[in-house]
Amino acid sequence: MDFQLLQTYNFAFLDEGSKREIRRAALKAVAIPGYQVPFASRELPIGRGWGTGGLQLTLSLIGDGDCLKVIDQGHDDSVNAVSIKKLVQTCTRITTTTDSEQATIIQTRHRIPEVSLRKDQILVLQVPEPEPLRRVEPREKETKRLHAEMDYSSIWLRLYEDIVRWGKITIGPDYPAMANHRYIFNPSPIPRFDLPKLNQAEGLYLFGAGREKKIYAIPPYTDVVPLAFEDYPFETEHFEGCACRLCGSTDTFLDEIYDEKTGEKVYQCSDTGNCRKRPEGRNSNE
Amino acid sequence: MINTNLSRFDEVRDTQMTYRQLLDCMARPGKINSVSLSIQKVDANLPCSPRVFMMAATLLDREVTFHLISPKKDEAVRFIEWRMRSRQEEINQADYLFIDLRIDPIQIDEMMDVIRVGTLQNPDQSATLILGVDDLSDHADLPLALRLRGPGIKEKKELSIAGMDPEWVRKRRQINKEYPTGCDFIFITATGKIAALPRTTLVESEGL
Repeated sequence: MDFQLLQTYNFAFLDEGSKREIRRAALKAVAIPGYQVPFASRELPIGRGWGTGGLQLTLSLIGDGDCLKVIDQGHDDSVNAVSIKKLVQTCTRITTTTDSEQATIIQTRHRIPEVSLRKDQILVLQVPEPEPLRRVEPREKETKRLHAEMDYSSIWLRLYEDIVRWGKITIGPDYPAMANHRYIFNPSPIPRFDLPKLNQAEGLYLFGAGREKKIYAIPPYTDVVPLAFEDYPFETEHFEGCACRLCGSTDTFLDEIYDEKTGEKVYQCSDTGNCRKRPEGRNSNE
Repeated sequence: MINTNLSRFDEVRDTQMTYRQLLDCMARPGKINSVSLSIQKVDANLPCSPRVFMMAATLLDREVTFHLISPKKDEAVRFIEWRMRSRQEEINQADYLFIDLRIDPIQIDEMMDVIRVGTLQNPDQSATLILGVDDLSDHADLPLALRLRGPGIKEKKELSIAGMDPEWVRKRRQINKEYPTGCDFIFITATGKIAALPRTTLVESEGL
């Protein structure tokens, strides 16, 4: 017999039961900003730790009319980002883009786009380690208790010890912050440069940790305060005297790279989608 | 066998659209969204109302429990259990409570006193209330006018509701006292206007 399969996989790959569970967890996560809601984390055709948490959130969100952008460390073109984008496109037939302003859902690893999120956009972050207290406490049961009792003295002590030993706080990316004056959360390994974008933002931020099986969220217009001391305030990375070699930008997050021919140190925008859109200062020989 | 004609309702796409509207409502308390296009596809002759069906199809399956208060309750419960593979539980155990009927303040009090609010360690193990109301508006032109503050709201937001007992708001304040424990509310009208009040939202209202 000759069959023509109408559909090989369910829409958005996951079965409806899986999507519903993720959706229920995400709704709870939005209602309790910064609290890590456990979920079952499904098997996907990519390995855990490769963005499965973010991907499951994306698949549970996406529908007809959505436009997806996937970025990996700011790049649209890295293997992981391209593969995830292709997978979602194959099983949903939605459109994709590299322009963050055209996207309705942006899945990202390690960066928040330079252009601020709008009301109608959702940013999905892939999270390797959702637990900020894991730095000071290895037991999950114990960290859950510390969150419940809002006992955050151990992480404050860790920051204090950093200052005593090194003269500054040594946590670079994934800098812990306080959500809605209640939960300390890990913003996923975004640079400190991106952390203030979460505070009183316009858009919704969802965080998915596939390997650690947690979903959490920062709703719009929510206070997000990076942990810091009065005399050692929170500092973002800064790039004085540096400019992107492609677009000449001085106000974006720059990657430090080495020119493969000359060995010279050069700087380039980390957000490639945004860089491509900035014509000013762009060399003609690119 | 319960005879159902749901041919126009697309379980995959309509629940996805409902979820997105719901998520937006939860992220922006008091914002009114619409799921009317999907609700119109639901057969009006089902044992439960189309709005209950829509929300149940979006949220329920065998992993969670519900409790329904509605007209023709037994038939509706049987239908939802059969259709969604979810089980009805007592009020103090249910994950999702559907109230599709006007109940008096005494009943509201009794109900709110026992619903799950989660624990400090697991505040997510709390009940979500889905309340059928007559109308929603973002001006103060309906009987129960609320002024909202909190995460998801830029400064202040107005939400007014018709067909909802003020006792709900009073009791909500009482059981949501110890954040992060508490319960979340979803309001839905027969035509498919929806709004939500997560536990973080502070409600001010005259006459309360």
